[in-house]
Amino acid sequence: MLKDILALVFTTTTFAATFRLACPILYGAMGGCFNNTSGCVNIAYEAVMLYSCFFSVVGSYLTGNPWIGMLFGILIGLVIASIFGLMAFVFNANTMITGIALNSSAWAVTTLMMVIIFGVRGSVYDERIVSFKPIHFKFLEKIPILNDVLNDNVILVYIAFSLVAVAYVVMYHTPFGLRIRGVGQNAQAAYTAGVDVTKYRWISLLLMGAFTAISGTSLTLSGISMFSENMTAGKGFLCMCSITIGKGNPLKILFVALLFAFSQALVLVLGTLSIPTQIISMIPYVAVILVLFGNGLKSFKGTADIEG
Amino acid sequence: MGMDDYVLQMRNIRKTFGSLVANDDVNLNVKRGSVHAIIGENGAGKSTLMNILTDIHKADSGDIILNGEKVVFKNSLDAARKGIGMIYQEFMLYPELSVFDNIILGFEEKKLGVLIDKAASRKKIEKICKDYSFNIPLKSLVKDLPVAMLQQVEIVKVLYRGADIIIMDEPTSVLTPQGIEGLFRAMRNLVASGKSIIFITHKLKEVLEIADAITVMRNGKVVAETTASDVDEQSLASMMVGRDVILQANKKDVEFGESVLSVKNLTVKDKDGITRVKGVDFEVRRGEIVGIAGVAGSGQQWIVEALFGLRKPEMGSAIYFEGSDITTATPRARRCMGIGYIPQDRLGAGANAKSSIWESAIMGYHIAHGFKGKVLLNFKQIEAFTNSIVKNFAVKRQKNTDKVRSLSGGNIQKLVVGREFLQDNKLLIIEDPTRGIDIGAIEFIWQKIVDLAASGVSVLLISHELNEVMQLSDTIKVVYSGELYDGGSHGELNEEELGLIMLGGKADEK
Amino acid sequence: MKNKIFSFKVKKMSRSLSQNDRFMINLFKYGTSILLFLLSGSLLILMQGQNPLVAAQAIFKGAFGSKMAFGNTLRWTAPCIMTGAAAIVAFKAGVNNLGIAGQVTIGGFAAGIIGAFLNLPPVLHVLLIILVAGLFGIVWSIVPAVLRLFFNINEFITTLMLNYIADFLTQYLVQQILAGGLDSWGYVNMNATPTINESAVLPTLIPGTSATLAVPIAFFIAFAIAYLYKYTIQGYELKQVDENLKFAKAGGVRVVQRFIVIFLLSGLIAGMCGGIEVIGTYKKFNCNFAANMGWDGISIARIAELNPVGLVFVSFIWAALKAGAMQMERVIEVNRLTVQIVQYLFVLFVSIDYEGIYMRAKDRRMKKQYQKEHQKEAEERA
Repeated sequence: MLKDILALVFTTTTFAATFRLACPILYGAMGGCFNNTSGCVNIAYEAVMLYSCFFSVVGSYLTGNPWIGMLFGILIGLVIASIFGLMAFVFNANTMITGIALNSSAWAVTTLMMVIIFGVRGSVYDERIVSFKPIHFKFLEKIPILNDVLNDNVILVYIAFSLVAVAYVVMYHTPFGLRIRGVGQNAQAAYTAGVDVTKYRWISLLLMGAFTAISGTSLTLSGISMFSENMTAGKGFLCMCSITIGKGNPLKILFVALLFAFSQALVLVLGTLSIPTQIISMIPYVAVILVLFGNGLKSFKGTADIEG
Repeated sequence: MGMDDYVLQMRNIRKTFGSLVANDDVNLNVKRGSVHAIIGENGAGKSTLMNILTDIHKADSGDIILNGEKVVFKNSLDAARKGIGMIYQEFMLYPELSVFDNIILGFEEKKLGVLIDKAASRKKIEKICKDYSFNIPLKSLVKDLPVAMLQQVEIVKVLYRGADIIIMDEPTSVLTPQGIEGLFRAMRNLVASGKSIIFITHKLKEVLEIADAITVMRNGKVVAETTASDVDEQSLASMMVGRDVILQANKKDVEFGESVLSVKNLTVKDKDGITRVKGVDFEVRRGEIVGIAGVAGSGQQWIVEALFGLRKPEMGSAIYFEGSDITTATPRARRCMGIGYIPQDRLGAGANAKSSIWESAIMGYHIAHGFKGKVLLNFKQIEAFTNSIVKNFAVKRQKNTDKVRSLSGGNIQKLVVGREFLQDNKLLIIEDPTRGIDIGAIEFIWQKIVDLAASGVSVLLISHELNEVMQLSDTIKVVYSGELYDGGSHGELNEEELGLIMLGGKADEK
Repeated sequence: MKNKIFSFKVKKMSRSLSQNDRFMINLFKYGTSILLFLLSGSLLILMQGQNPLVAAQAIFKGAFGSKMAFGNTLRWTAPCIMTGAAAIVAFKAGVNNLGIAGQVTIGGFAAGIIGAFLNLPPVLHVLLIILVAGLFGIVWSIVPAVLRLFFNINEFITTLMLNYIADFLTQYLVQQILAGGLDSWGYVNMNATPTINESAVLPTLIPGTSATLAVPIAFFIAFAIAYLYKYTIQGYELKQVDENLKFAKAGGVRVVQRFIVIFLLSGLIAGMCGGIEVIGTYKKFNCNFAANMGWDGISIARIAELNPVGLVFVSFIWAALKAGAMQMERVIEVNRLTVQIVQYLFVLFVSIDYEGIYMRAKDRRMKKQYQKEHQKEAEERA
């Protein structure tokens, strides 16, 4: 049994799935790391992602073009982020409760709209919903393992990984990134340095909205071409967790995201064995706690204490 | 004298917050290449005036005239671009960023349109450091540097931003006498090369030493404009508070009793494992005031936290209170034994700004002197105790259910001090009891401390204000880099000698 | 510190509000929120081609129209109060317990098992179930508590993740262990535990309705929390721990102990809520029955401004809307999700910082007045 499991875990299939599944986490995490670094507690990732899932499907359904679907998704992502920003920055509302309200209503709103637009409950499946097509790289064919792992994915996957490098440069080598970090650490100091704190917070929030929306698009339009009720099921929270654990550093976040993607890949791979699916489905969520725990071991002092 | 001599003029500035008038027709005239001091008690309106100058607040009415021209700033950035640089009392730095990043943030040199040109920025900083002889480590993280160094970072920062007028808000409050000398040297350098400095303080001696012109503020108004050569400490003080003040503690002769607190080989590490207190020994006898002086960040915080049980000391440390070992006792246990604690940050560990006055007033009391029942709050007792603090310590408040944040800083401090003084404590650990409060309140609290010691309570006073330690303490200790040095008894060593120890003068001899 | 964004801009001057100001702010707050609530609700109903007034009537009828309807409202009030109470206990002491749903699920599962597989005398059976359900809720909150206290790991992520784990774990236990895996078609045999024994059923409060003894239990919990915070030393200390941790530590409050108590108390209430729901309403444990209960509880607690007395009122209205929504869906062609959407819109509306807006407006007014006087003075001088 254990041998079977191990044989399945370390195969190119698992790594290929990891590579593919990291994509939705990466978009949200790379867009959101700026938002997080700017000192904003935002848990509305679920909401943005779910709305975008639905609207990407709608856009693709209407036009037959996945790019338009993505555009629809991004637009709704920006709208949701703007509502969050309006509440948090203009009306000084508690960000946690704003996030909760947005997350909880996202399920109701998308389900209701599904009923109104498509006339079904549960899930939408229609041949007019067009996904992105996988891209085939000729030059990869000759490289044995990499070919299986990297080749034949949709364009969104490749963009996701290049985004990590972009996010890293922006965070550590541009005035924008430096100022975002400054705003997060000492907003008042940034303000006195002439940094328009509000502007930077808004920009980083909108980045989070737009990119988390692409996460949603990649969930629905990377091949399965369908939307089902509450289909994100915690994936948005995984974005948020990888940012928190990676402390806003895009490279560290990449590492964490790959770890989560790997545990999700196990769900797919191990499903073929007779291990109950419910147990395997727990893996990503348990992984979050384990990673946090591993991180926290450093600060273990042997005594219980609370720090503010 | 022509108009051109003034680099900055502020005319008829008025600013209100709600019903509070913070600045009332204030005028300020700063000459080019001079140090212009603004003095006044807390709440006199100095900070508001400077916030208007740096455009953090907008004035309700009034004009700012810069280099002879009337200006209206669009925002803080605009003010900074026009050459106004501010160094705040609480440094405007980012703890997790490097010194380099701290300096350039907001004013980055760019290349390729979007990237930071680190080389160009570094060159510019190095030139400034050379011109004004500063020496700062650009790569270190700000959180790892001592306070005096941070102040240099702040100065370099405003110069990097092209400041022509530099505002310094209470810059000396965290420095040793030697550090202050260094700062004054830098200030003279800056003034000599044409920069102008606005120096905000309430330390009269320093004003007389460094300032060319002086503006005195009281209750939001300018009460005097004068020069350093025309006044002395006495006259300045009476201008500031409107009455004569002599800041001197009237110490009484007290016979010390047996040892109350005895600390042996106290070693404390912070959470990163760095040793902050290195094997410290001392004792406090009954009725004695032991003062610990030292530059901020020399380990005072860690000593106090270990003494009060907020941080676990390392193995081998021992703390005895009235003969019993309390090294590992909790703060709760210590309070029950009769140890009181007045923390440095009155709105941090001292009182709860969000709570009502009575809630902050009974903290600790409810444990140590407690109510008869263990479960229910005894509101009659609460009312009585709160009222006794209010009465004995002249706390100005409307009713006990008001929020703490509605009180002024001085009144909150009196509330905190009163709370600890009125419990029958045998030992009081007092940190910076007079930080940032006005002269009247300082006088009041000093007197209370002296009286308390005279009545047989032992006091451990930790202060960043060297003068406070010298005035109040029977025995003086100096902490430097986590080690404790002997500072003699009351009046034995003078300010310069103690300052030298604060800077590690004795450590060098070893 | 991080979520106190923008505190520097709205400079909190020594702001002591008068009684009058308080009243005006509350009027402004709830007036605006309710107005926006009605407006957005009407809009959503109009969009579905129905008359908002008819819908409102249907909701009212569904919530208060008959004995059964009222019973239904009361039935929903109980879990709202209990999850809300779990949230209040936690949030009031600064614990971000987002794992209420998971604790409810686990508590419910324990109740389902004990109810179905144990034979005991009636009263004892019910008491045991509530107790054990609460203990399971506690077990589910121990992990985040330990991680927070010993490893300084923020509980809001761990509790969130434990929600999902609770879901999958109970699904596994019900579907795989109790029902023996999938049937030959590959479908789940059973999505719930067997029906509980007669002796384990929580007695009804009003005969002929779905209101059970859960209602008085919930009221009691709300009352107990109100009492705890208002009149006890423990409550006083908890409040200080939340508002200023450093202050509480220096004052000698046993913060670690207090923190654990809060965490476990919150888990206890949530677990009990799950158990009571299962033996009171469903008579068996359905997988995912707690779906939105956790978030509902936190939202209600926030609307009530973490005030236990307010909690009772808000829960009652929330429950009435919930009960009415089903009636509305039956009577007219409006999806009952509409009500849920509007409920959460209301959460957004009330969390706006009305106090800040009001004070800024007041500030502006005073400034204008001053300028007017100043002008007059100047004119007089001229």
